[in-house]
Amino acid sequence: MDPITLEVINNRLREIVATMEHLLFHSGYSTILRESFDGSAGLCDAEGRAVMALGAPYHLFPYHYSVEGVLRAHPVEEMEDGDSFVLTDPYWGGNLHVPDLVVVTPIFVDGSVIGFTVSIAHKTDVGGLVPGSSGAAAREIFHDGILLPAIRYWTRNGVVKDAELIVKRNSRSPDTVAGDIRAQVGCTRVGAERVVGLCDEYGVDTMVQAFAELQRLSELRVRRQLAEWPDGHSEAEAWVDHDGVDVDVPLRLHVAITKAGDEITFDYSGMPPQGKGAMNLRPPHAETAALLALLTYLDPTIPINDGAGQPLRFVNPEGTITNAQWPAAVNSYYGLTTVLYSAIQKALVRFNPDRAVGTVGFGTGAIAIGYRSAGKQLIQYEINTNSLGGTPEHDGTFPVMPMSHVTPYTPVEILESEFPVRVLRHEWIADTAGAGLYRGGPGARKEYQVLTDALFTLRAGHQFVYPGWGVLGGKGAPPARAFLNRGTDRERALGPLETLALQSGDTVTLETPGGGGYGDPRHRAPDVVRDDVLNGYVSPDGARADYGVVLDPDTLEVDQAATTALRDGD
Amino acid sequence: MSPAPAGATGETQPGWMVGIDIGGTFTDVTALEAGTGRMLISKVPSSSTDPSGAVIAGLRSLQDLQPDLALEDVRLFVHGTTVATNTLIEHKGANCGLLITRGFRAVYELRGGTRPSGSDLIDTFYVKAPTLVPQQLTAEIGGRMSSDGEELEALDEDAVRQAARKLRALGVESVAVCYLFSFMNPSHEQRTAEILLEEIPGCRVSLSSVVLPVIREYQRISTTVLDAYVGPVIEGYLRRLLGELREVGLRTEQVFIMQSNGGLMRIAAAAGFPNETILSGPAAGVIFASRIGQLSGEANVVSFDMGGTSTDISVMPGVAHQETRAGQVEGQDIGTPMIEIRTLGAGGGTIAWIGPDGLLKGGPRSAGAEPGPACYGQGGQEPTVTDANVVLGYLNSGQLAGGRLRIDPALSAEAILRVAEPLGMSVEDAARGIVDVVNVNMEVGLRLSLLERGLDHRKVALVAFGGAGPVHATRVAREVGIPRVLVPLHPGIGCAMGLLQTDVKHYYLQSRLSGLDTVDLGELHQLFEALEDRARAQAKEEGFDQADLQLHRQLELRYPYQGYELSVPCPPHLAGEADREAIRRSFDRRHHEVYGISAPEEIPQVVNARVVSVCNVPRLDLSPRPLAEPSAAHAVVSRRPVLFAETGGYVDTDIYDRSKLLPGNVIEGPAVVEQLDSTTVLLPGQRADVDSYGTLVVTVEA
Repeated sequence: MDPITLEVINNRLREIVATMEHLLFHSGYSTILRESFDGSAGLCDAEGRAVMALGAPYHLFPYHYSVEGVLRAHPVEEMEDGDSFVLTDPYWGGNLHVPDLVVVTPIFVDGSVIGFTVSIAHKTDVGGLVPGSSGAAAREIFHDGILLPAIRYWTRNGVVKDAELIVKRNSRSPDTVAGDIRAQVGCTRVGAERVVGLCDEYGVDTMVQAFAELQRLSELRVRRQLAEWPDGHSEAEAWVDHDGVDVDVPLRLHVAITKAGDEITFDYSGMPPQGKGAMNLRPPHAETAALLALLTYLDPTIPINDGAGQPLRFVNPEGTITNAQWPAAVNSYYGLTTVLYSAIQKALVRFNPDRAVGTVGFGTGAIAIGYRSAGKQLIQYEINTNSLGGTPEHDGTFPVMPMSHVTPYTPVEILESEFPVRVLRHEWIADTAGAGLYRGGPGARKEYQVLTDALFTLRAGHQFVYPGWGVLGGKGAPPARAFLNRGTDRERALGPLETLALQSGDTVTLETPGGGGYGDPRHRAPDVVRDDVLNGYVSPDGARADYGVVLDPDTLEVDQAATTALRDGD
Repeated sequence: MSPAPAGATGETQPGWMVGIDIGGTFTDVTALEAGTGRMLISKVPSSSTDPSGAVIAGLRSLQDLQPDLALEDVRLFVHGTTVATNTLIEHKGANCGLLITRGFRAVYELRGGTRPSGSDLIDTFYVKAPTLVPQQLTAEIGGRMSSDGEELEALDEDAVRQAARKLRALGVESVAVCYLFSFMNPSHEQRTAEILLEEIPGCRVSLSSVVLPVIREYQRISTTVLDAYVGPVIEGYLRRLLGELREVGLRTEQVFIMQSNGGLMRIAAAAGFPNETILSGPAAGVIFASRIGQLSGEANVVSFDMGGTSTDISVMPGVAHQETRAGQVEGQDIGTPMIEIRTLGAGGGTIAWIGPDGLLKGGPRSAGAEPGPACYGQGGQEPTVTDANVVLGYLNSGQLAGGRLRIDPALSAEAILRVAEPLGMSVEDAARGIVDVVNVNMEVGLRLSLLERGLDHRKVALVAFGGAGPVHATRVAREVGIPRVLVPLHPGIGCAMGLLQTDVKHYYLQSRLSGLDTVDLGELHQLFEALEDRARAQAKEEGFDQADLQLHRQLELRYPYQGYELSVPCPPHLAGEADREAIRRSFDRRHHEVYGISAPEEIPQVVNARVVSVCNVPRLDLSPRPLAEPSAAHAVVSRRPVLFAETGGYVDTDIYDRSKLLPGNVIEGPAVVEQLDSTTVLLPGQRADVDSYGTLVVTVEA
């Protein structure tokens, strides 16, 4: 296909996906969609391979698995124009956990299915053990919420009423969930219509060819870049506190990477067995972590589609924590996926040190607070953010979601207006940024006080003992922490995975960690360290201990002589 | 440039109206004499170091054109400026301090609720825009308000005083103050201002409860800091400009600046509202397009302002410009209501290149004014959109801008060869490709803008202006399925003309979060009255008669938990349940208009009360002229080969001189219409009618 027509179709498809995403975020009901952007929309080819998607890049591999799940239950011969399918079962489709509800709509042209439009969006509540569905006590996938295999949810005659009734009856926030699903169905149907319109304009053969070509171009870019890396083998490990159940048993993640020619293999044979708790991963998680980590070291401008994943090979034995078998619970996947992604990045440093970065802060996840007020269930759901690590060019950025750099944030003023809660602080914590020539972004402290009794769930990865690390001489950041009633005689340190019954007046304090540092902190200019002290990111003690910079205690001016002596001393 | 023909005014009082818009490269000047309808247009070079100098040079250029134009006879002067934006680009704002609620240092730097696009989404090298105040100039102040505006903890006045002393010692000249829930109860911020002024005499204080008294603390901090950062610069610039204007003999009291909201404000008052000047110039272009649309009797228009480096698009359902509260300038979030404009990185200077995927790409890099497109012969080597237009015959290959720019088509061809060769294409095919790729970018942006406003492309007209707008608009409209393109008489100075086509306008906002079913109507009424008092006081300060003042009440609502609001009119007297119901239904309708869906079963929440105040000022109003015969043969000045997708190759095409066209003339495409400040390309099958205002009305699907 000529490079102009393909670029034109490329842009037209991007417009369609942007349109789908706009409709998703503007017609969904929940704050998760509207304020946290935890949803995505995209286009797949007739085999379910992702052609194009915007937003949440960790939803991309799951698209393929999800379409395959739909096809397994409903072969194309049984599909009709106007159908839309819904699934929540991670073992049936490829969604990352049960609340990530998937909608798949086939695109019909002249009676044949030429592709699918897909949307994945996190739901406020789909049943399960706790408000928000993802509970710390989950031991089986059945505890994570209602498991929908690929079911027909919409037909040319509108919503399948029985299906909607079942979904609503199984949610603590039925109207919000039903509204969000309608938004998802709506955006995939509009997307499908638009693709059909393009087929009219360019011809269906050209469009199908463009689906393949766009994947091939991403694949070629990955292969071309991989070919430039030296061949070789690299391994990395990372430690996880525990599996959420056996809290005294740390887990060692291990990944082995072999790069040969224009292909790269990720071997997860060294992974521990699947855990008893809810932090297990499935192949879509393990593959997404690898692709995203690889692209950050290769070239993040390569458009992500299933073509980009073709040069990747996986060895991922069944029954390990990266390929957990039914019915293991998976609701807290995000933290472990982030650690896996970071371990892979560590192993990749040797292939491309120019793109080396300190880790993003570990201990990511979400909180859910369920309040019962005047007979109504209110659910406050917030996604935690973490600072990025230092890079060869600059300090790590302020908190974002790891792997997908949106900054979800529900304003304090909205929280306090809508929920019986007071936010007491949201501030940086000194000395929580991993030190380095370029340091990580700082860690943050957020403190809540509930004004009624409430059920509180914290999912902060599994990293309160083992934090992230620095790179090429940079230091790691201290681990994340959480407390109940901090500073009172009822203070209790919390684990990363907790469900608590709070009493009115209780406080919960979350301390997210900073990013890891890049390069030797003793090479950071003393004036820049002084600026960090003035800005409160580093304490005077931290300046001395981590950077070898001595400041005059009164003026905070750099004591050049003492600094030189200290830096040259070791 | 020379005196322009055609143009008249509904005004009968004598005197001149002058609009001067500072753009990135040129400062555009337009003047219209009331009564006679004489109109002058001119361009002078902009100067980033001396912006007011360009304004004065612009005034003098008018006198060069029309020696009998005395500045004492100017009765209306309106200015569009980019000073605020330049201050941000060049990081030349004030040394600012920031006072926030104790415990909330993370809010500003976190920049919550934001979302990067493209590869930043996964790139570990992603950085957020730097804040305009560092933490070391930020102080935390004790004191807390509840969500109802009740004081939970008293203001720590000592902390304010200590912070003020520290900031003074650090040379701070401007302080932003933003406390939680100050929009519900501003007393802590007000007391803070008093202490600041005691401790730092002459300091400029920006209170969030004044700058943007609405809910959502991050947006409010960012907006208030922006006010503090650009405020002193704007204040200095406007004072200097006013002085220089008086010095050269401008006497009128009617001296205004265009605001980002599309309304005017007296220059003397504008120093207090620096955020309002951020989109001053582009807003004038949107006003201009809406006026052209109204004259042509269009129901809905989209402005399409394509210049050297970018294209501004603004969708106007009902020919009324739309506003946004989620603006961004140079990475800084701003919640001040402003005209919604989508800027696309596609202009005449946009550079074509081969991407890493081997496909032909257009932009976002631009050759700008220096070195400019290759054909200008100023050293540009890379192929630009303008070069492609020269190769295709759309642009005159001898000269542009009335001979001020010499065009060398050989240089264009040479530059385009740089992409044509690796793609294995002819120069002509590559030129077509460049135009196609840049057009499709604009088409995608246009369709998304229409989608966001819920408008059907078949029901809009495109108003094409800016130097390159009329070259591309006819093709873009055909591809998108827009039935008409309007090319105004002077497309190159649209922004300067727009300055003279609007009224003084201010918004007054106040948040009040409450369910529409439970909100106290009496309290709401008091809130509106307080806002109206502020509006009246400001109108008085700006020297307007209360009789000239129109006040409109609006409520801003959302469905529960939504992240954004929509405005609906609110009746002046809220009597009872029937009013609640009427407001609710008008919100449902508005939501449906904008987003294509509504949720009538949900009870909306009131988020803000808002008063819009409007004071009329004299305007430039064009008068219609009688229609002549359809034949436009007299305006054909030459023929040249031009390549169209429809013809597949070059065809000998009539070239018209716009200045020779008369109202009533009809041109059948393919044709090219040339004028000093732009070129209009008519595709095969298209037809242009010159209407009684001199606008070319292009029928796209003839």
